[in-house]
Amino acid sequence: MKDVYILGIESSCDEMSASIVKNGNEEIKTIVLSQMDIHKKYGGVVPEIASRCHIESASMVLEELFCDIDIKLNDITAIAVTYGPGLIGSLLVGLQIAKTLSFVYNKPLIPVHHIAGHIYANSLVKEMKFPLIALVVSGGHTDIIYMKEHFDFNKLGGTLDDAVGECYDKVARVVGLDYPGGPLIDMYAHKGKHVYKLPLPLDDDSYNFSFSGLKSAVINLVHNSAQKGENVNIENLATTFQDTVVEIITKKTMRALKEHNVNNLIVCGGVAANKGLREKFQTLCNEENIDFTVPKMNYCTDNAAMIASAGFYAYQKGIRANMSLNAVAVSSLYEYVRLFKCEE
Amino acid sequence: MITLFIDTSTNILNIALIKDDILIKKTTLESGEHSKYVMVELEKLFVHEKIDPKSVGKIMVTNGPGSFTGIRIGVTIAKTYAWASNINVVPISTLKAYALSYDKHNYYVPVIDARRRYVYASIYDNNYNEVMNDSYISLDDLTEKIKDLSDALIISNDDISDLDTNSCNLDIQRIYDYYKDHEGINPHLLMPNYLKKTEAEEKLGG
Repeated sequence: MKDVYILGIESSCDEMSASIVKNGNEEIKTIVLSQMDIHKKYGGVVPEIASRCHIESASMVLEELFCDIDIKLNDITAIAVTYGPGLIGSLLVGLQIAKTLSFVYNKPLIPVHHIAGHIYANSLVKEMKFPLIALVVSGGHTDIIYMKEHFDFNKLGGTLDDAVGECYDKVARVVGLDYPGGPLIDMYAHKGKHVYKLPLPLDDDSYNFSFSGLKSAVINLVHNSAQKGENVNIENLATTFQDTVVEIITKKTMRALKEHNVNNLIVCGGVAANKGLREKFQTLCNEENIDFTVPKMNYCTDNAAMIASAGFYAYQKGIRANMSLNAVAVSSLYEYVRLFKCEE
Repeated sequence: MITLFIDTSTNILNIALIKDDILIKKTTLESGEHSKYVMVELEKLFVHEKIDPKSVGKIMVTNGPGSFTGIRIGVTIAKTYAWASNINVVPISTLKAYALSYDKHNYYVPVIDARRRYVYASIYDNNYNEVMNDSYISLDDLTEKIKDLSDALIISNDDISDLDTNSCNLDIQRIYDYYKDHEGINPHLLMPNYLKKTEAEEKLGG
């Protein structure tokens, strides 16, 4: 089979990234330009500033990508781009880049759902084996997904309110940590003891999650301590909070594997970088003889390599878009394949 | 040589192809969703005129002021297209493009609504030289600045109640003629000209 080179473009939030991946799993080169330091002083991502930064770097990111490699734009098989979900102004920049390149070089255009991208960050680690359970944990998603083959996404459950990453950031803010606080909570959690009491949220027979109650419990705990004139120990609170989150997530995910008779687990999304969660899954999967995959730390966050990897499998599945492809802020992973699948 | 002209700075989309100094085809479309339609119309234009996208030798693009998102769409396309084709881009002020579309007046005052009684505006003389640079200015200040100018043509496609405006359908041949000897800039250097900081930056700075 002829080698397939996919150029991936990702700009859904505050990272502008471009990557070339060969045959879905061999990363040739990736450029990621993060704006984290710019948004830090505003306490979170400012959409208009993110869009403005994206356009300033748009062509430089491409220049840098193709610099010092043997592959030229014309050698690319197809162009994959994140069309959503994400910040609309940010998405638009990457989308117009991809559409323009597709037009000028007459290459197929492949729309990639951002969450499909996160899932396929794992195919850069090792070949995905089916059937599998994919757990997506990020600032916007907490989904347990069953896949019997490539690009077959079936939702078993998801969060009913806040996403897990969102909950981490809010808890971090309550205890006075700077944005983005999630990784800091993870760091403190490794230093403290589980001394506080927090409820295990939505501990039921479903595969759904609920984190807003847990967030409120943390807020109450901090306020009650303050009223008594006591200071909450951040390290101990972080440990208690993280233990609680990790317990409910691993409990439901492991049950999903068992009940669906699946031996392969992949975890992805920003919270997949959480050391506590990675360690717990690794231990449980070793015990249960489950094949566990998680992306490299730096590919848990947004990057174009995962978009190019997903783009390869989307390309094989006949997923295509034309020049009318638009960016969408809100978009369901479970509608994605049906929307863009072209009949052969 | 083929020149591609792109203007997506306002809700009216203009794209055109110029071949050997002559405008061969122009598409003008009112759209609330440039992100969806610009590349569709661009593709149609090239297919209709049987022109190879790789044969474009220069791109002219309006880079603002105007709608922030609108400007970014045109500038991203122009930047990427020019980078991929290894050609230069000529950035054109949206306001100057308005002015150049008219002639035979002493002064031209192109105006784009910026809301809350503010506008993006500039003043050009009869040779299209800047008397007032592209500015983010209150309507009151603008009115004051132009009240003593004789034969000043106010050009706008927006409803600006205080001003007696003339609508503008871009005259791309005239705009092209004015800029045709401009060698353009490297696409990496092409930036939007918003004329206005973001609210977050204003709050932090203010």
